[in-house]
Amino acid sequence: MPSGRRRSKKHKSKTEDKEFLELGRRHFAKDFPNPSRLGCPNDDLLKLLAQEPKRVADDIQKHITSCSPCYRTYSEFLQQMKTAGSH
Amino acid sequence: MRPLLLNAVDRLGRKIDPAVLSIAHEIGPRALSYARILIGDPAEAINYLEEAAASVSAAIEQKKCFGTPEVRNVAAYLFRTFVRIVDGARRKKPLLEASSTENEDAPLCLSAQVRVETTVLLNEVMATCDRGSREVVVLRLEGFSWAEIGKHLGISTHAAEARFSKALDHARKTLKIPRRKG
Repeated sequence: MPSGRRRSKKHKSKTEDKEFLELGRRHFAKDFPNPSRLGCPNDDLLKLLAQEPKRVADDIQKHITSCSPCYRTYSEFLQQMKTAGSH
Repeated sequence: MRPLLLNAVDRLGRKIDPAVLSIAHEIGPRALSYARILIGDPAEAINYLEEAAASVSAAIEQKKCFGTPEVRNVAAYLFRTFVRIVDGARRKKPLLEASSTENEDAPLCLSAQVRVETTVLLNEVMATCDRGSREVVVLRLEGFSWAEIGKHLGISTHAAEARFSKALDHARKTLKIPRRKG
């Protein structure tokens, strides 16, 4: 039953993709605690990064992948934007 | 978070160039978070980071002596050297442990390996790829569809998907991590 096997393979691949994305999201959201908030931009900049990324400097975009608190804040802004359907 | 303190000499007695040491401090938190998952012991991870920094210092010095092109991105070069050392240590460890204990937690090891590969790949993408690719990857992690990413960044759906694949393929190739079969 080749088509069934194909479907099963595709399903497995999709599941693995989901796991990959979830692991990645958790990695950036948790593995860089930065409790003293060194080098963190303010929330307005993170909001702007979520809404209009081109208007924000490159180092802010880089910062969010090495600072979990900022990543989580940025993520919240992205989700709000997604829910509002404004992007 | 405690500041990361690295020695100017590795455990083999090799000197670390001050510029490389400074970069090692910069990439330290990201590198150690990766090593923590893989080998657990943070002290051991710091030793490996110092070892990597000493190797990179020696390589830079050698390039200067022979007049070969200099390292363009020392941070990425250092991170890759560190990954190779940690990966080598991880491969040796199970062989040592297998001789004394039963391998009773194999499924856990596999999932830990997938986790490590994922984090290493993404760290490599964030350290070496251009901004456009990094943005695509982050938006994808956040659950955006290719069409949504394309619209948000002002590129086509196909371009969004292609940037994501290209960034990960590049990182896989650099770190010699094979693509998992579905």
